[in-house]
Amino acid sequence: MDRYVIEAKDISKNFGAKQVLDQLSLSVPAGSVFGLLGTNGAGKTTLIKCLLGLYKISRGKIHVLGDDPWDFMEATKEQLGYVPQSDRVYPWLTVKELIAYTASFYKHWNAPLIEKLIKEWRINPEEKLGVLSEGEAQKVSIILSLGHEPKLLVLDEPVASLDPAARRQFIKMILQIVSDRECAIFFSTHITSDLERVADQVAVLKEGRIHFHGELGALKDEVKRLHIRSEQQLPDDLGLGREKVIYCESSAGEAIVSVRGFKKEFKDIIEATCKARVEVEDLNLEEIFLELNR
Amino acid sequence: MKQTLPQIFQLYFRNPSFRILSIIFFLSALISKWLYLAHQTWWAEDVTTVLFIVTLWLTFYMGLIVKRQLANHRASLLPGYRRQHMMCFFVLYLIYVLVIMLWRDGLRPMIEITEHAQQGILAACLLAALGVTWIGYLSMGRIFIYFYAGILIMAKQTLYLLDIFEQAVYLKYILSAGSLLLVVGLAVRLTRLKEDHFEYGYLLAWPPRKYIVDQVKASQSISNIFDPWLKIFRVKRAPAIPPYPRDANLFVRSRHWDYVDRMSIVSILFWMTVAAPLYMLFIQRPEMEKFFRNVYTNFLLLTMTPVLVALGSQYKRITYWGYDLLKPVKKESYVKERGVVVLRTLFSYWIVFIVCLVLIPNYVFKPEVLHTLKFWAFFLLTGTFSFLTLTWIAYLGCESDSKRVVIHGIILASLVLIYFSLMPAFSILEMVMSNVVCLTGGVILTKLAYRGWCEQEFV
Repeated sequence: MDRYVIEAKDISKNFGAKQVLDQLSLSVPAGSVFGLLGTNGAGKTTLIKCLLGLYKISRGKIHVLGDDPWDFMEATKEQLGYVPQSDRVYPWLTVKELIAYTASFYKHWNAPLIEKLIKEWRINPEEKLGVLSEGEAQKVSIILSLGHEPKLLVLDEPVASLDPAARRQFIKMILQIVSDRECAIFFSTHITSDLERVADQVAVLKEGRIHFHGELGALKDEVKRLHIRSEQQLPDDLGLGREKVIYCESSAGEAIVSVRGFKKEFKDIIEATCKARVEVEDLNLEEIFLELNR
Repeated sequence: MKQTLPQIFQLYFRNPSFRILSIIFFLSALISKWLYLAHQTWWAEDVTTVLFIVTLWLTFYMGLIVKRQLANHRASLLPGYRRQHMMCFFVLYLIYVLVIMLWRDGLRPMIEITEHAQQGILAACLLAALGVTWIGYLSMGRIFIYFYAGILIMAKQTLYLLDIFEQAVYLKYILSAGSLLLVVGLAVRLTRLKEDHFEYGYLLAWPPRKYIVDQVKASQSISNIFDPWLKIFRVKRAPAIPPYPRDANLFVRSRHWDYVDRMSIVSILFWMTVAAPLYMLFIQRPEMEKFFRNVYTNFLLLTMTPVLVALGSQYKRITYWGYDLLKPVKKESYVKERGVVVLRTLFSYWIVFIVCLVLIPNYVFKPEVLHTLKFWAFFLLTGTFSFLTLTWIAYLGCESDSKRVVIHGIILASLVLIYFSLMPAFSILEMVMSNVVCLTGGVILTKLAYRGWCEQEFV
């Protein structure tokens, strides 16, 4: 089995003159839960659609489950599940009919799992899809993506329309899927608290480029907030180099500085350079996300 | 308030389609009037036809625009929103009606009908325009079908309309009262339009998927009204869907997509059982001998209607192609199977149309025509030309260069018009040659369309 389920190298995507993805590289290990973070318009959905072969990349190379997405083989699609941001297909069908229709395409279909999820999430199988609420439609979409027990599940903001109980159930389900079988999950979201609970790898997308890519723990180790107190004027780069400083807010003798690529030595360097007292604050994922998008 | 009204009017005039239709409306009114006054009657009549067609489109579009303005949450939440938008709508409507009144002024005795008949026709046109505005406002495909059936029934009387208006003067007052009733009805409905009303959603908008969902909700109410009738035709979906026949041939595989697309059968049955008898009723009049009963003059209706109906029935499905593409089917196979579905839909509708509008009427009224070779060459040509047109449109559907689309569109439209005009004079040989050219062209365009759609991005 390949080590990575997704490998993207220097991919770019243009819509006319507008460049949405800019020489982006990414790799998602098999069996991992990979979270993609990014503000609105950062290019998350475009990236996902390129990974699924719905968009053709302008430059670069992508391999998903060892295959070129633009020309996916049937066998690859058998191992792929996808939950789009808003899923409103075939509104004239009932939930039951859509499940039967979707199942007919797959060689393997776990019907008991689907039945169980339908019951757990209190979906009426006789209801027409067109009259379901956003949240219910999203639940159906998630359920459908699991029927063929894919090796890679791609979720584009899957919990945005779910209520807290359904979100909790969804997270539990993801953890269960990952522990039961070798399934990688790639999902984009704004809800960082969910990501923090399940993701072992994250990537931060900003203006079409990956600003961080690695383990969640590493990201937390790398981005810190420093509280600096000093009698003297603080230099702009604090002696660390401008590229390390994400954001700096200073007033007389005091500064709050967010830094990337944090190392323990930073504290000593600043204390020595600025004759200051430095306190290091750990940030949660939401704060890191906000800092990186300043 | 002073600034709001011009802003609302701009919503109309900054809309490119409305602007184009309005320009054509005013120009055709002006030019046709000038031509009448210059005694260029032949040209004047042609331009008047343009004015008539554009007026219909314009009224339909106005209904659509006012619906867009009022079928949203702002209409209920912003103070004075509805009143101001409705005021602008009715002012614009009045301006267009006034243009028509002015157009008519001074044309007597050039248009040789009596004053009563003219007024009756105007009242009837106003009623029809308001009916069309209502359709634009409701904007649901199925309403077109019922409306079309209504038109066919009314058309039985069309040729006597002038005589009727001359003799029964009271009729114009009844029609005017009907128009007034429709205006009041529309105003009342616009004042109260809420999300749970059946017509809240609309179809001709982007992105289509959201509005299709709205339409499904909206059409529930209409379905309830027609349920007893629809049940006669309703096809029950199979309780269990067999596995996708991966190893079967292309035609069998393409049928698997039909499990979600069965509503078109209802439409076909409708045509066969309702529209065909109405059409027969319509063309049985002796006055129809020269046109509708002469099969060769019907080329446009017989070729374009199946294409438009087939495209219309597939248009909604295209929005799901991105979703379906992720099912374990190779993209090339998927595009081929979808192509077969589209062509099969065209073929089904073509058969229905040709049987209902050509074979049965000719069998009844002119059975001798069925024994001529020319008839069967024409019969085939309606099919091959529909095939050519559909594949051409399918090819243009994946063309991203707008200039090429415009050029191809002009060539296609010209070809349709040339065939329409020259068809009655075509010899058998010309028809046979046309069949060969259309079939060959269709096959080439199918291949080009296939390549194009394989490279298309689906979302």
